[in-house]
Amino acid sequence: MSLTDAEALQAGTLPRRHDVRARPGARVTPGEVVAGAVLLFLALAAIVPELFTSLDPLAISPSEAFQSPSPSHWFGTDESGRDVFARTIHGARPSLTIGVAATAIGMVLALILGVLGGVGPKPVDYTVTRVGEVLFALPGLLLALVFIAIVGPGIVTSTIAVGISAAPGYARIIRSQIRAVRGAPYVEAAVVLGRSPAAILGRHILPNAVAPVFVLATLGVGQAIVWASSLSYLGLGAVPPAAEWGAMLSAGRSYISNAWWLTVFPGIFIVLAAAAATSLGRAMQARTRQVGR
Amino acid sequence: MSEPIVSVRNLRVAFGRPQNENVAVDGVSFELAAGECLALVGESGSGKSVTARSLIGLAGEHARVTADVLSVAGRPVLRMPERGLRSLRGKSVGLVLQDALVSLDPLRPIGREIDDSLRLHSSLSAAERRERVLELLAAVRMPEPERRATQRSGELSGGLRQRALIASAIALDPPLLIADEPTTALDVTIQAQILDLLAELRASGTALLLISHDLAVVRDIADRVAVMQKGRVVEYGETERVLGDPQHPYTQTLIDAVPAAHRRGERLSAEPPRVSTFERAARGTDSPVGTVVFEAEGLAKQFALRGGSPLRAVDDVSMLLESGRTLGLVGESGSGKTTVARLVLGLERPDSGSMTLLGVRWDGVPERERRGRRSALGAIYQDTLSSFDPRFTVEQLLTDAISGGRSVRSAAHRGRVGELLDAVGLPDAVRGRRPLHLSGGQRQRVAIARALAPSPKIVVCDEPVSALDVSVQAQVLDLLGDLQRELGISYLFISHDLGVVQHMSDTVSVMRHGRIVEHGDAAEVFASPQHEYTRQLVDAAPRL
Repeated sequence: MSLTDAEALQAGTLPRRHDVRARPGARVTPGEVVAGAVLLFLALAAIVPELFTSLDPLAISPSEAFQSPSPSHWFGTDESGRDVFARTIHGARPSLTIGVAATAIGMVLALILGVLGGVGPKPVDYTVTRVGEVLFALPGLLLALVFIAIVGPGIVTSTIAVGISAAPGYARIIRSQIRAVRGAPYVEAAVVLGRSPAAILGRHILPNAVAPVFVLATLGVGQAIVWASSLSYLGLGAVPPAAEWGAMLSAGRSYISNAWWLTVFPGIFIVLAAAAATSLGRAMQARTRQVGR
Repeated sequence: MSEPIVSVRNLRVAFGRPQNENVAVDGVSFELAAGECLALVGESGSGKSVTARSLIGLAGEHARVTADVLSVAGRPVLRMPERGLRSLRGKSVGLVLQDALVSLDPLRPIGREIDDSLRLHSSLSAAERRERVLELLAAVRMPEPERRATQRSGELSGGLRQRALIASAIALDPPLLIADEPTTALDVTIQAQILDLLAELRASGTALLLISHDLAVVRDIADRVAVMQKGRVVEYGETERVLGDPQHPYTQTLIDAVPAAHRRGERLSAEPPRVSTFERAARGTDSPVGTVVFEAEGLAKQFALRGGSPLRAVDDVSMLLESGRTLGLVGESGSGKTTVARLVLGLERPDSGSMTLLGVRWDGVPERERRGRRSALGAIYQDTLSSFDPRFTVEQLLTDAISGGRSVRSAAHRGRVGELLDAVGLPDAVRGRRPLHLSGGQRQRVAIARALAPSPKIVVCDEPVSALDVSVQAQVLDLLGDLQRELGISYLFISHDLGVVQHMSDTVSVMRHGRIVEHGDAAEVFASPQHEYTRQLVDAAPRL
């Protein structure tokens, strides 16, 4: 989640339900097919890694240490003789889980803040907005580091940290969406029909304001995966010997000059996951914009 | 007759792929000489705008235009290179569009906009051009031309913008002026002035191709009329003859649809009156016609303007709504009509004055208490599409209204949804559709069905037919009339269109600057207006 997305929203380039330039039956592009296939593969790897490798990602075999990629070890082996391919495949689970969970945490926090700001009385809105601006001033990763510095490292804290640092961006978008929808004629029509404020919020304002943000969250998953890996790389998230991409990068760093495969393959997977999630998110974004209301 | 300015024979315009094409204009032929006015009349989608645009090579990027003859000012337009077309547009043809706000660059003063065509297509010096711009503004009777030339389009009213646009269209004294719905967005008094201006241009020798859906506008100014339907000219002839003695049934339909030509209660559309069993049970308990259901006394509402004195949007307005009757509220844009509607609907609180709904106080009551009584008041808006939650289908919208907001997907209300759809003359098949995918008339019917769902005593209709074609407008007005007779509903009917108000109303209030300047029996007010302003309005309204 970055500032540019919030700006994009204000500039009107994010999905808005009243855009009605419908292009029905837009074709699925080859890029979207590839992105979908990659995500499907990673999701499968996360759920049933045994489908792709029968090797134990933690089983050490010192005699086989530092083997370069070969038919028996596709991605080579690491300093303890563990199979890098097996570790990379098994690494999908923690990495994807952290990515999705962190985005979910960010969304929930953002919903609370965004709704408070969007429908709350002026002082509440003012407070929420100002706090959001302060958080915005700090780079997201720095925010995550501060949180970890206070709470301590670990896979759970790093997930929460990534979620917290994503929240201000979503919150700002949700707030402005709610503000926009609140003034819509159909909300007024609901008032005329005698609906209570709570009913109007639940039935009309929230669904119309928040739906586009969920699409945005897909984009956020890719970013969250990168951030979570970064934290693990810094030794603040998953800790070796856990098979997690960021942790694998960190462990392989010392041997980068004579065993490139230790870092290159997990790195490629991080890029693949983030790129696939992002391009699919973009595609969804474009679709919802076209379908409009 | 001299050499015609425009000569069109067998014009055909098609869009889409050849095997699956969409023919917008088919076999259209006409001629137009200097000082003549031809009107293309028809409903939206009938191909009138595409016809006019084909004359200047603007039919559209993917249009395939063919014709035996298509010439403007003696030059063939088909296969004319883009360069030639550009000079044709500048020098030989002026184009005036409906919406002057989007046709003028909002960031440039109108003087510079008008200057553009002079700069591009003439060899005048800067000083001469400046002189000419002021001349043109004077010619379109723009007040204070010197000052207006420096203003941007956003600073001008709709009428003045339209004048500026006409000034830029006639800057090079083109032999042909194409006016596409030039007065549709304007108030009647302004419309009358713009029509006078166009008539003057025609008298000075400009050929005028007028595109309009409004037969009354056409009657005033056109020599000949071509009635278009689905891309074809179904009737063509002298204006007097076509409107006075229409030969084609479609022309007759269009003429019949004009509300002002009919007394209250007469039908406008060919549709038979609705005979439905809708709420027969409820009818027995309905109050008889003429019971007072709503009363307002001395309503006033001010709005704070940015950095200025407050605007008195509504000032000392009183009204009486009776069951089974219609109060028409008529006035030009900015007269405060919509603010009155919002006060009645309880969307704004009046600064002073009192309101009574069904004998119980309606203003100054806490919202919590008011909410339960809101079902007595329904509303129909001009922009219906945006008054529907975009996520909902027709069925969900109606179920929401019927169930009092408790549900949008309840099978228990399926029957009642069917009754409502039937009552407003919609097929059952629209249930699952979203309003976005319905036509304007169908949307308005859905809006009426939703307003009726809670069985209201009063329905506030704010410009309910302004966005519709005349024949669709006729159907919707007939429907509103039928429902009133059947259900004894009281309407507060707001419109800027005198004909529509006259046709719909029993009593009428004329608003100006937030005040009601005249009130009385509708027939009397329109037949012998007492107030000066009402007289102006009635005089300005074009008649068939």
